[in-house]
Amino acid sequence: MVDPYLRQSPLAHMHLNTRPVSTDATVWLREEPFRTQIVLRGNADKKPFRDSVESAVGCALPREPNSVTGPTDLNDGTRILWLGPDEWLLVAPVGNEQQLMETLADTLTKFHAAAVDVSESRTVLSVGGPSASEALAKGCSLDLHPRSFATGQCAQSEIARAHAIYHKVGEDPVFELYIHRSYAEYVWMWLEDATGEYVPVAEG
Amino acid sequence: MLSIPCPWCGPRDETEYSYGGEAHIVRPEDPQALSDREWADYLFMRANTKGAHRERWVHSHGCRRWFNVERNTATNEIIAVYKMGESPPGDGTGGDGAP
Ligand SMILES: [Zn+2]
Repeated sequence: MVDPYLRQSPLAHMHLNTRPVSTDATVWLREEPFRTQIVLRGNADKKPFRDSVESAVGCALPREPNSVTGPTDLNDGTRILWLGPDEWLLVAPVGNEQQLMETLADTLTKFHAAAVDVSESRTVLSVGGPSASEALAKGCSLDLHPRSFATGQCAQSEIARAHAIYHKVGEDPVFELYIHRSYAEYVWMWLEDATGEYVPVAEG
Repeated sequence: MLSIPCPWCGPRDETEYSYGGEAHIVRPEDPQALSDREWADYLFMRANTKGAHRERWVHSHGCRRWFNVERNTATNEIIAVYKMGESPPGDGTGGDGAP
């Protein structure tokens, strides 16, 4: 748990909240900093492990590759993203890491498993709007068309050659990109450049 | 660019993967018992196959799992993909193993 007064988003120096927002843009960008993120490792073939995690966290471990379980609205609880056959990312609203880690520590003592708080390692960049997929496609080799990337699905891949976890959270579409903090400024600036053509220039 | 099907994530671009060399090279049970030549053979010597080649890949920008690929080194055709610990399909010649 990081002392809140020391906590700073990797994009804090860019003062994103002071920038004008174009209402005509068909793509919007936003940072969602400080999300609770915990990496969980364990053997999903063992039912007691799956059941214990489910009762501790409140949603089932996803076993289908690149799928997500948990609430549509993050404020309603904890989401679990599939990262690998024995690896998951638990995502919860800001400030839940301590409580969640304590719960998991109690739960996991019986198992060969691990939970690590990695909330500081990544920030979340939201990319939404009717042209979001088109803009992201400039630096993403995944097929983001709804027929192959459904709402509620996640995938680990790259954005402009930087590692990213994609989670499609909205039909509009809205994508959340989990970006390592040392790449956050680069990816943000790349996204600003890639989405520039979808933001009409103000007249006068 | 190759499109490599990860056994978990499905087809992804080659840039998401790293190459791990020839597959199914077994570490000797007792390295101390080997001559220098035998140890060097285990460490360094690899078949330079033209044609069907079984090799390891890791999905480093995806699920970070290692797996095996059988690939034709001349045409880059991907003949088979199978998980670690699974026995390779076919007879290693690029065919389906049928006589
Ligand atoms: Zn994969």
